[in-house]
Formats: sequence, C-alpha cells, structure tokens
Amino acid sequence: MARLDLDKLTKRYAGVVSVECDRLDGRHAEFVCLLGPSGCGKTTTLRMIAGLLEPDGGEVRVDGKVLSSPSSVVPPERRNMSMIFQSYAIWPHMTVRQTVAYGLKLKPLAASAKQSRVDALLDATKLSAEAERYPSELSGGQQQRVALARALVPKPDILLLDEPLSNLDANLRGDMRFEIRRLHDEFQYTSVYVTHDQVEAMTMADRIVIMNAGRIEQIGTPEEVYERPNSAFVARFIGGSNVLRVTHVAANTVEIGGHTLEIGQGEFPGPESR
Amino acid sequence: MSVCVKTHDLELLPVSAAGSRANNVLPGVVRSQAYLGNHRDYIVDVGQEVLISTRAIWK
Repeated sequence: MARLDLDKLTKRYAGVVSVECDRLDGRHAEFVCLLGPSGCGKTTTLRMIAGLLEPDGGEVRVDGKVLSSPSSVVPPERRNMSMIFQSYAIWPHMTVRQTVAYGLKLKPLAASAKQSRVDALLDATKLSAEAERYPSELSGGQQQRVALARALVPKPDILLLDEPLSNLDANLRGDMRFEIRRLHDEFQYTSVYVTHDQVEAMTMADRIVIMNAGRIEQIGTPEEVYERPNSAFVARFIGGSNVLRVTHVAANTVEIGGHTLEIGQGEFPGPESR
Repeated sequence: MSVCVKTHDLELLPVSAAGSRANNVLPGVVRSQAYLGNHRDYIVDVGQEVLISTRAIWK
C-alpha cells in the first residue's frame, strides 16, 4: 500500500495542454477511478503515474517521494507499480503458471518462495485449474485474470488499470468488477483505475476523479459526485441527472417554458455553461 | 441558469392526472421509451429533452 499524490501535473503535446491536474491527494490502499470521456487525459495521467510519460510540469509523489517531475523521472521498473491494459498483453507461448511466475523472475527469492507466491496468486484469481493452459485455451475473462495475477505477484504498492474490462461482454464485466475490488481489498494495494464507464467507477471506487478536457472537474466518493455534482458537466456525465436551462424568477422559483417550478437549495460552483 | 433534476425524482403523469397537481408540473410529449428490466426510461420533450426513469410495471 502507498499514498499517491499528484500535484499540478501537466502534459502538453505540441504546446496544447493534454493534462493539467491541479491536485489529487491520495490515501493508503485507496481505490481511485479516473473517470471521463474519451480524450479527457485519463490515460495520459495514468502513464505519467507509471513513469511511461514525462510530465511537462508538476509532480507525481508516492509516500512523499517525488517519482516524476520535469527535472527527474524514476524509471517505471523502479516504482513498484504494476499496470494492466485493455488488451491483456499476455504472451501466447507461455502457460498461465509461466506467465504469472514471470512477474517474479528478477526478484531475489528462493524458488520455493516464488512457487508458493505463484500458487497463492493463482488461487486468489481462481486460476489454479487453468495453470497449465495457454492463453488461446482461455476465455477473455480468464485472460484478464492472468494479467491481474501477473501484475499482483510482485506485490506492487500501486496497481494501475487502463480500461481493463472494455473487451469483455457485459455479464463478465459485472463479475470482474467485483473480482478486481475483492483482490484490492484482500491485498491492500493502492489502485488507480481508468474508465469512461460511470457504472464501473460507481461500483468499485472509494473516490472518483472526474476529468474533462485534461482537468479535474470533481473528486469525491460515488455518493458525493452523484448527489452533489459541482458542475453541469459532472451532473450530465455521471448520469441520472437532467440539467435544464431555466430563468430565475425568485428565491427558490424558476421558470421554464412559461411554467414555474419550485426548486431546492444548492448551486454548481463550477462554470455553469460546461 | 441551470437546474439539476435526478431522473428518478421526476414523475410521468397522464394529462388528466396532471391537472390536479398545482405545483411543479410541466407539459411534455414522450418522444421515446425503453424497457430496461426493472425500470423504464422515457425521453420527454418539455421544450428541452428530459430523461425520466420510472419503475417498470409488468402488464
């Protein structure tokens, strides 16, 4: 487990701002979802956390230690982070056991310790019965579980997941959401999960970071972003809300199409036009 | 300005029943609807399109 902080993290491509995250203060063993539409900068942010991209400004810190800044970047292999991709990225010529064991290849552990660690992960990801099979003999859900087991076997402090369920059918996606959250709770690492799917974020996250056009719109628990969206964008994107254009008549009274409505308290602090 | 209304806080009423409600009633036309198992979604035109989500009733 680790505490991940992002501070004014910025990435530009050809002078155009792709990501400009003001601040995210992480918590130990937290499950954070980066949620937003395509092109909003979620994956770019994740790749800067992983060390696969260098930031143009700001810092990535883990437990207070700076891992990325414009002046220095700790390479990905020295961050004790694992990453899972939409495309599984597992090797066709290796069995499930070989693939999972590969994550420990460079670890200075005795063979018996490696063996028991691999067995434990195969058991935790419900792959023990498939241990000697090749990826072509597995379903999409099983292949993604192999990727999960391989990512978790080195005991990462932080697990990064980039839309890992997008290739799965709806039923399997539902099952895997609970599976990913169960593993997070069992092993107590910090998770950063990128998705454009509101249901995935609401189901799994301790906190949701809603991004739009490279910027953080709102950070909050699923209940907070659903019940108290801080902008029209968040209200629309998180779903379950209508945002209606009205004319303010009096204190709690608005008009729409010549009809008056009594409304409750509260306002969007963010720009109303978004 | 804008107001935010949850889809499940809206109620769809026939014109005959709506007349008896004094407050917070908007006339509208149902443009489309979709059965989604435990609920049904309606797109209603009230001058702007709104989404209303109601519990589906098996007839």
